[in-house]
Amino acid sequence: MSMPAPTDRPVAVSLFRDAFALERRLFRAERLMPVIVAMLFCAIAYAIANGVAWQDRQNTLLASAQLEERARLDEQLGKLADMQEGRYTPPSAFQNPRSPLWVGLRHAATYAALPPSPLAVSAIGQSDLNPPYVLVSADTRESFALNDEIENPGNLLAGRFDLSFFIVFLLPLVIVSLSYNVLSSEREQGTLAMVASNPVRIAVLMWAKLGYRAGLVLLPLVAFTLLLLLSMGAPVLQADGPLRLLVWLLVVLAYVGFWFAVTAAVTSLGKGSAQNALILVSTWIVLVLVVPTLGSVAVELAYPVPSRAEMINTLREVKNDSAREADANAARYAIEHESADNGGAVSEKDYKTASQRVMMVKLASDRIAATMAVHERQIASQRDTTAWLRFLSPAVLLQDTLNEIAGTSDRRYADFARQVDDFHRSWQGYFNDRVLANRPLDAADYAQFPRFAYQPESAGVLIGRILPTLLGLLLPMLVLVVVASRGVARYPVDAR
Amino acid sequence: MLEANDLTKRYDQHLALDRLNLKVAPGEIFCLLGGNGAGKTTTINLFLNFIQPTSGTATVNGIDVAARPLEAKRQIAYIPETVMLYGSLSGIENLEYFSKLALGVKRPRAELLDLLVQAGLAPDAAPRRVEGYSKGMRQKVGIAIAMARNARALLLDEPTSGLDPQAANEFARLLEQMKHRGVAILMTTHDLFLAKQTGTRVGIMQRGVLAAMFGTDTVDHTELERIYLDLSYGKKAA
Repeated sequence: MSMPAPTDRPVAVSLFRDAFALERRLFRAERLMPVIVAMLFCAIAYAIANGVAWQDRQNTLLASAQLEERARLDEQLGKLADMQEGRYTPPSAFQNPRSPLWVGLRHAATYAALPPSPLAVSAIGQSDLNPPYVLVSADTRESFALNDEIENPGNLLAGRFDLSFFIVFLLPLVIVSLSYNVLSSEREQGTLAMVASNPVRIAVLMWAKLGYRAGLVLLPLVAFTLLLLLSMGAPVLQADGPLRLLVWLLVVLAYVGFWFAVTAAVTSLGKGSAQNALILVSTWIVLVLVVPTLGSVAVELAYPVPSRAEMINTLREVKNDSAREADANAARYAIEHESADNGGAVSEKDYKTASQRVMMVKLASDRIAATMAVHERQIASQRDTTAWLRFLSPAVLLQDTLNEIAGTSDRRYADFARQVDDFHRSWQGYFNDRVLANRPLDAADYAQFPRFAYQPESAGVLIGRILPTLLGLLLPMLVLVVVASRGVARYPVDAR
Repeated sequence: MLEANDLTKRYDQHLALDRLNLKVAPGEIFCLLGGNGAGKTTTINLFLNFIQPTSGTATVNGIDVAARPLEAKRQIAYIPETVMLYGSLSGIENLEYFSKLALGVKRPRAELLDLLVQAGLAPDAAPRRVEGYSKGMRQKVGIAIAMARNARALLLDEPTSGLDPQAANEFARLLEQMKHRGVAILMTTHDLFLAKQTGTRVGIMQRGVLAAMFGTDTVDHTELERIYLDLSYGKKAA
């Protein structure tokens, strides 16, 4: 029989392909692929279903809030029409639909809503700490800026099983469990010696094996995510959804690549399978659990935020002091209990007490601003420091970025809060000007109430913010790839 | 073809191989004998570049194994004491994979089956999973892999250990065939009978040193046994 001579074509390419094909054959022979794919499908489906359920709940809350606001306004408009036709005489200024003070403070208070981004279901993020809307009135800022905690503290502590949780926390464990023994098991079984007696580079063999596993993780992850997002009705193809999806794909790819690079670096140490598993799980614990916790503690120590309860008490005291100074308690009593005496329009007496109330709100607002600024400055400092510290943990880096892409990040809520602040000022200006000018409201004024519309950040801003994350994942990955490729060249191959 | 020049391997304080000088010509079977820890497997590992020499060189067809391992490995085939294969693949699939690794080309299944049969494996065993193979059957796949590589040099590390006499005889016959094709064969073994039967020359190693080297036609089996026992467990040979 004629024997073919060894070819001179690039060994690395040929080996990579052969080793890749062998892995596929081995996984198929061991029937591992269906198990892994099914496990990924179940986890992703459960995670996305959770995200969709959460988003549905948020949407329902927002819808019911908007319904409530509509009902309030309709009631006022109805009273206004009745007043004009003489069918309604307000028993007090508080119930007067023409009173700019009480309409601005209570009856027309409006919900400023943060619309969900197209990928909101992929990461619950900070949305369990921040409601999707706030009720803005002509009252002081703290009335809307300090949200009541709306989530079960147990859920807040444990986090929710959404897609980002699965990718950030559990996917590295899937990668580790698939890859901790790519070379060590071959060495322990003796096949590595058979392979290494051929003209092959162990590094190419390792990368081929890891490459196959990366495909085994990434292809179902991406395919199932897209399929399930679409089938569960997530609006991923609306607005800038496709762009967000693309960025999501890039950062997840980089994160998966990072963890495979970690596995490669540990493999290249030439330890046994059990030791590799131990080192990799320890690395996971450090990068995913310990570093984020230590970072959080360090930030808390460096920039302690005053107690929220104390601040709320202080704000109440400030407000009460201001009210006393403006003699507004008496004014409020008069407004709420004395009847209007000019056929439903704002009386001179009402005007006086209303002006006092506006002055009180203004005085209190100035004082509250100072107290709240301390709180917010510390939180901003914490946020700035965390922005740097997150580069110490790829898990924090990714979670932050997935929240950013999903529109549930701390930064987006801060941006929303800034826009609400601006809106609050214009709302106060609209009503206070009318209070101080003693100008009762009419139907035309109702139609011109300021409306809040969240101005989303441009795609360029989003990408600019995510770029450092990509670098933060890719640079360590590249370093690990170089270290692993060099280290594995000295991989111990026992002859038996 | 295979050449060791002052080849030395030291592990910390332990000298595993001490200045080995050895040449194996094409068409020659050189048998390395010696007790456990004598340095036989270390020698094979150095020729395979599984370990790096402390000093000296191992060359294959003039190519320094440590300096140009890929080129050197293109010239050699290797059969270990126990041929370890991928258990979930069949014998023919294992052969296909390893021959592709070595040659870079996929060979027709019929050719591969022929090689397995030449190596002594029953044709009906070829498509079965290797995890059900006996040690002898695995060794035969190992031989087929070596044959498929069409190598110019063959390294064998106690290849007949654990084989039944019939399988060992078949193995010896295959070695003879390869020798006649001009392959240089370096084999470590404890089997004096196999060494005398198939070897052209034998070397006896003791504590990392090649203590004796002679042609198999210069001694009979009894004499070979006496020298081996004296060197391995008794006085040093003159």
